[in-house]
This record gives sequence, structure tokens and C-alpha cells, in this order.
Amino acid sequence: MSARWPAALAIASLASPVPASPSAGQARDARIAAWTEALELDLAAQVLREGPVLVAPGGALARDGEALALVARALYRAGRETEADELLASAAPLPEAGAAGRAAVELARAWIALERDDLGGVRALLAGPDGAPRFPKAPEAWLYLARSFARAGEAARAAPLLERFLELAPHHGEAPAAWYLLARAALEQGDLEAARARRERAEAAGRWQAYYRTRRLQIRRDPDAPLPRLGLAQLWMEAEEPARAAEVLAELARRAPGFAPGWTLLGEARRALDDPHGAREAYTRALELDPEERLARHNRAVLDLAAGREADAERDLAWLVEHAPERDPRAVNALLLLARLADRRGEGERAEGLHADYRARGGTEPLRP
Amino acid sequence: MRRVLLACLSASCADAGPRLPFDLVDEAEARGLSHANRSGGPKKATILEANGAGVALLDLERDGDLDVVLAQGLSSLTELCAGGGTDIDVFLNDGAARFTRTPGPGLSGWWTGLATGDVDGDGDADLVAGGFGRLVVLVQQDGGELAPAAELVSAPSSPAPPWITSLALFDADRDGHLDLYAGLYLDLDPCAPPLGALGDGALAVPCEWKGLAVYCGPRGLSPQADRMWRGRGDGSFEELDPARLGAAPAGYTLAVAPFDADGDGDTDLAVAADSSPNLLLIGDGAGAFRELAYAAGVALGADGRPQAGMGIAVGDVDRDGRFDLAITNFSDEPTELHLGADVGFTQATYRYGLSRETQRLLSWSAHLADFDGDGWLELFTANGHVYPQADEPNTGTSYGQPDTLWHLGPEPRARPAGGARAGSLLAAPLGSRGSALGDLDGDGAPDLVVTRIDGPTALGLARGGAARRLAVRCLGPRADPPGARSADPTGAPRTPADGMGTRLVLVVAATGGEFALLDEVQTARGYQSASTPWSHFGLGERGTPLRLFVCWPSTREETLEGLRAGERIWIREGEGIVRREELR
Repeated sequence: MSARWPAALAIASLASPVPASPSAGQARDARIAAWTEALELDLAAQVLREGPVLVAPGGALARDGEALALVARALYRAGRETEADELLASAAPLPEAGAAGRAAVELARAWIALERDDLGGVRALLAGPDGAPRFPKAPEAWLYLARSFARAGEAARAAPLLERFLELAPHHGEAPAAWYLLARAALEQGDLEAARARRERAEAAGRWQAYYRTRRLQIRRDPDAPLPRLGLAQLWMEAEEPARAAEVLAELARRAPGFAPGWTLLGEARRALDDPHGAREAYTRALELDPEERLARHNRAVLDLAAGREADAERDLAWLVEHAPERDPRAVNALLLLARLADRRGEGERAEGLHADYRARGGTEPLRP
Repeated sequence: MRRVLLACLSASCADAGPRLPFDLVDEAEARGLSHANRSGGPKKATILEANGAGVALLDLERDGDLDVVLAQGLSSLTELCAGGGTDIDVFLNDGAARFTRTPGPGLSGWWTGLATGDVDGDGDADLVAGGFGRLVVLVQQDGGELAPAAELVSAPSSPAPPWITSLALFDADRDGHLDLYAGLYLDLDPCAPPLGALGDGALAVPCEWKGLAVYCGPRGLSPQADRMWRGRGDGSFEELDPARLGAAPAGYTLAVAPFDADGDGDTDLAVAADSSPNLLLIGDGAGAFRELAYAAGVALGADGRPQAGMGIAVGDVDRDGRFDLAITNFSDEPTELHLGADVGFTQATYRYGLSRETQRLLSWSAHLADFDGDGWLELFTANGHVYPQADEPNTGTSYGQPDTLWHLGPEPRARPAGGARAGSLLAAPLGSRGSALGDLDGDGAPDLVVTRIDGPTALGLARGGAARRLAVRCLGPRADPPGARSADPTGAPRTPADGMGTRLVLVVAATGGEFALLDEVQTARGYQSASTPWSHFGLGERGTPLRLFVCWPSTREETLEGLRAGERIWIREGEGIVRREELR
């Protein structure tokens, strides 16, 4: 215990994890998220600018196990190991800290044990009587336990723990490493095909993580620049996480409401979330800002067709045929959609003509699916 | 023969005796090794300025001792861009580790990596010097001078010159002639280096580390693919098709270590790459390789992460008759220990407690050697951060770092060694980079020459302890006529003139039984550096050398007896011991 944090005071200060008001809670959550991201980006110093004061007795987060755990990790990374140990020691015995807080503290202790090559210590902290993690909802509990076995050369014991970790947190920063360890386990079992497939997953996850990290660094550097946020949202779309993408795009829309590509991608995210009304709104906003947003125009037309708003759809599709470059895939598909619309209306000759244009531009779909 | 060796090794559990007090004491200045590295400016605005230079130990003048050659850089990239260059520096040894500077070969460049070996088969050691856009073969003349014989790369002024890092001279195709592997780093335009950020506009990526502005790279800059040349045996080389390197992806190579990884008698290569997976190139004995690092378990760290490999050390840590690897890495990454196994390697970093010991260090050159002579290997790492900004608060590390030495046996747990004596190499928090190992004062104990970024070169002489030792120098069969070695017309493997690739197993009688020590003649040891061709065996305080099993690259196997502690011997293929001397 350092002189700045007398043990009794620190323990007493952890009695209630409940924030005083919703607004305080929101601020606390934002701070925890920011610290978590800072540690993910290897920016421990940023946590340490304010963290130690906030978790010290009397500080706004003095009773918050998650905050304590994050500050302890930052201290350890900064080489201030004794302070990290003392902070966690003050937090460890407190049942009042709340389940999430207690788990965070134990996970931080286990992480430090891993850093110190104390593999037995990791298992003592995290493994329940049956060997499964004591905090099964925490992805890192599975990861750290897995690491304690992998580092000891027990890849087969690590494998199921890693699989569970990846189920819980497929986009975690350690996901590529988990896939690599699974590949190693498969290799040891002689399953070369699985090893190859898992290594490919690891490499793909590694590429994704590299972009993810870069985009977040760019956003931290210039929070109002739209392109990094758009890139971040695209990454979430690639990862088939449209809700995460929509979250990023909502913030982008708040900061840069005149940035049309952001609204287009928000339309895509909402469409993937089965929110056609919200998607149409986003596409329309994009087109108000930039009539040349061809993806927005095309997909708004698709939504309108599905909703029976044929006239609206026809206007957008006709615009694409008229204004988009001849080989633009959205213009080509607009011809097909117009042809099918005409066919449904019984305008056979027009439908055939449009379909012929469609085929002339490289389309291969039949008029009647 | 292999079965005999393994049976012998499997019984090798005896300890050589109590541990001996030991240290590496820096006596460079007092012994005339007055040399200071130049590597750009102190702020390290570009990555070229951060990586430092290597050192080579080789016998010039054929007087039986090891002399010192040091690579050297320039004061700035501006100087390089203006066509400036510097020579490599040569210091002659009087046999008792007293050095005199002598004129260099007259090169001009920014020099990085050095390799040694007898490239022309005349029985003396030659040198290959690599640098930023330069790769030169230097052949030793009768008077011991090094004279340029071939220029393999000469593009110092191109926008992205080939950036040579570590080199290895070894016999890849077993024709008796040394071949050359060159590790390459990355594309960097010295006249317009990236500063502050990579890319343009809103999508520019700031060059930062832990939130601090630092030089750009290696991530974000294009890696260069390693290259290989086949030696013709007369000092000339021809470049090989890159396909022979097993389609290994281009990484940011920093270290190269040839050794017989799979025990099949030919030479393989471990390659440590910065910020990308390590490579293990398994040779077919005919000069082609397959990349098998993933299958062998050495591509990544134990946690499944690619690391920033900076240096490689090779040795038999656990005395089981298989070579083990120690791979140094960036700060926040441990120096990894991979133990040779029946198939590939097993991870031992955490079992040995090396993560805790090493994770705050940024380590470069590494050696696994029996410095204290107790019969077990120690791990030396040359340490120092690349970023001066590491001295800012809360980085968890520092710019200057002391070099470190760990005992790795007999208990399988790393324990710090040395550092207590005045002037210890292991005490000063400086910025080490390259290092070469060899016995410089003739006492049989391996000493070290360590290069420091922007600082004085260190000479770490082994001091302390009362271990008995044996030093062995392997020589290939006599050429007839000298200097005119040609490939065997039948295609049978041949041993290079300097014995490169020869494997040795020394059986030692000690209190409690016998133990066996494994070594292989390779000089490409140490980051950008070349170490001794001698094999140094520690026998403990009471150990007696019983038998020496020798596996020559020609496939000839010999067993030598009549060995004595406290001497150094020269053995020649087919002739046994051809010379012996008492150690000092």
C-alpha cells in the first residue's frame, strides 16, 4: 500500500460501486471506455494522467473496481509494478465492489501474474473447482487461463478455452493470437487442414486488427475527421457487426452531418439491421447532400420496390441509368430492376428493351428470376 | 554415430561442479579498443539511425588470435544523401587482448552487418561487409589486409537501397564453398525519409509509440526480401533465384543464424524478423530451403503473437543433444526460448521465467555460451531501446539499458549473472546493438565485443571463476594445391576449409558422472555480427574432457581422445589433432 492510499481508506472507499446519478454514470462509462481503448492502443500514459487521482480515496472512481483494474494495468505497463500491486490489493477483498468490478480486479491480477510468468497464480485466481473460469462471462478469463496452459506447452488444454474466448469476443485484440494458438494445437494433433484454416483465420483477424487499431488512432488524433470514422464503420460492416457500424456512423453524423458517404453507409448498416425505414432516411439524407451517391440511390430504390413505392423507385433507377457511368454496377442493375418492373406491369416490349440494354452492359440475370 | 551421440547425451545429467563467480569486465579503453559508433543524430529521427552496427572477430595475419572489425555509420542521413561514406574499422590483437588500430580496406558507405568465413578456400578468414545499399566481399591478403574482391550490391543512392542487416556465410549446398545469406530490412529513401506520419491527409497514420512521437517504421514501410548468393570458392559469388528460399514472405529481417536445425547434417537457417513472424529455413543440402517456422513452433511467441525479432542465439541449453534457440525481441515482448524437441521446438520462455526477466528490455544481439565455464550455457543479450523517447515517464522501459546475462542451468530457471564487478559490461545502462563472441585474451573463456549506439565499443573480458576449459578449432581437409579447392566431381559433400558447419560433441567426466556438450562451427552469431569459429567448452572446476565426437560436413565422423583440460587444439578432418597449445 502506498503512502498516498492508506489501506483502510481505500477499502472503505470501495463500499458502493453505484454512481450518484445517471449523468455521472454516463460519464463514468465513457471514461471506462476511453481507458479501455487507451490500454488496447498501448497508451497507458493517457490512463495515468487522470486515473490514479480518480481511483484514490475521495476520487470519483474510488469505489469502482473496473476503474481500479484499468489503472492497475496501466501502472504495471508503465513499470510501476508496486503501485499496481498495492492498488489491486486494496480492491481485492471487497464483495461490495459489484460482480463486474470484482471480476475486473481478479482479471487484472491474473494478467499481472501472466506477465510475471506465474502460471499457477493465473489458475489459482481464475479457475473454479471444475477448471472452468470463475468469471465465465468475461472473455479474458478464458484467454488468460488458455495462455497459462499454452505457455506451459499444453496446447490441447488451451484449445477449448480459446474457442470459448473467440465465441465471446471474436473481435478482441487478442483474437489473432488465439487463432494462432488454436492452429498450433491442431498442428500438434496432426490435423494439418484445421491448422491451415486456423492460421488463415489468424492472419485475416490480424489484418483486421491492424486496420482497426489504425483507424482508432486516427480518430483519436482528429476526432472530427470523417474518413477515419467511415473506415472504422466499414471495418465493422466487414466483420458483420452492423450495430457497431451504426454506432460509429451515428457519431460520425453528429460530428460531420454534411458528409454524404457516412449517411450512405449508415443506410447500409440500418438495412443490415432490418431497419428499412431508418435506412431510407439515411439514404435520403445522403442524396440531399450529394445526388451522386449512387449506392444510396440504388439501395433506396431497392427498399422502395420492396415497400411497394414503385414510382419513387423508378425515379431513382431512371436517374442511375441516365447519370451513372454506363458500366457502373448500380446503373447496370438499375436496368434489370426497371426491366422487371416493366415486366410486372405488363409492358413487355419496354421490359425486353431494358433487359436487352442490361445484357448489353454485361448483365447476366434473366428477366424473370 | 548419431545414435552413439544421443545415447551419450541422454546420460548427461552430471553437474560440472559448484557455480563460479563470474563477470564480464569492460576493458576496451585500457586495451586500445578505442572506437565510437556513429549512427545519425541523437534524436533518432529516422529508423536507419536507430539500428546501429555490428562487429566481427576474425584472425587477420594468421597469428592465431582474433582481431576486431567494426562496422560504422555516418553522422547524418544528409551526409549519406550527399554521397558521403565511411570505412569499416580494423583493430589488431596482440594475442593478449591489447589492440592497435590499423588502416581499413578503404570502403565508403554506411555499414551495418559483417560476416566472416574463408570464402576463397586459402585457409584464412575473409570478411563480407553489408550496409545501406552496399554489400562487399573482402578477401584477406598475405599480410592480413582485407582487400575488396567483389561488390555484390552497390546502390547507395537509389530511392530505396537494399538495406543489409545481418549476414551469414555458411555452406548451403555442401560443396565445400561458403555461400552468403543476406538479411534485408526495409525500403527507406535516405534523402526523403518519412517524418512524423505515414500517408497523407486525414488517413495519415502518426508515427507514435505509447502516444509519443517517434521515427516511422518498420510498420508502414515496405519490407525487403532477403537474398542469397552461391559461393564459387574463389571469393566470387552468384546470386541465387529467390525461389530457393522457400517462398518465404519478405519480412523485416534483423538477425540470421545458420545451424543444423533438424539434425540431418546440412545447415538450416533461423531468421528473426522485426514485427513479423520468424522464419526457419530448412535446407535440403543442395542449396534450396523450405520455410517451416510455423510447423516447427518458432514463428511466433508462446502467446501466439508475431514479435519484433532482433537477435538469435543458438546452443544446447538443456544438454539434450539438440540445438535450442533464444530470440530477442522488442520491449514488452520477452526474449523467447525455444528448446529443440523430437519434432520442431517446444516453448520454454515461461518455464525458465524469461518473460518476467526480459519483457521490459529491448534486446538485440544474443549469445548462448558457457561464459563461466560451469558446463551450462548462459544467455547474453545486448540491450538498448530504439527510441530516446523511452526515457519519458510511464513507458515502462528506458533508452539506455544494461546488457544482461542469465544462467540457464542446471536448474531450468533463468537467474541473473554478473554485473557486480567494477566496470562490468552488465552494469552500465547504455544502448548496445551488435556483439561478437570469442576468446580474445587466450584464456579459453569466451569474451565479448559489444557495439553501442552513438557510443564507445565495449570489450567484455571474462573474469572470475576457476573453471577448466577446452577450446577447439575445426579445419577442413587440406586442399591441394592450397587455395584451389573445387567441388567434388562426384558431388559428394565436402567440408569447407574453415570447418564451417562441423558439429562437435564433447564428453566430459565430472563429479557424479559424465555429461556431453554440443556445438557447431558457425560464425554468424550476434546481431549484424560475426563471432569466433572456435568452439569453447566449459568443464567446470574438476571436469576432464574424455572424447570428442566430430561430424564433419563431408559426413565423415571421427572420435578424438587424448584431450586435456586447459588447452586449445586445432583438429583437421582426417588428421585428428594437428596442433595444441596451453591456454593462458
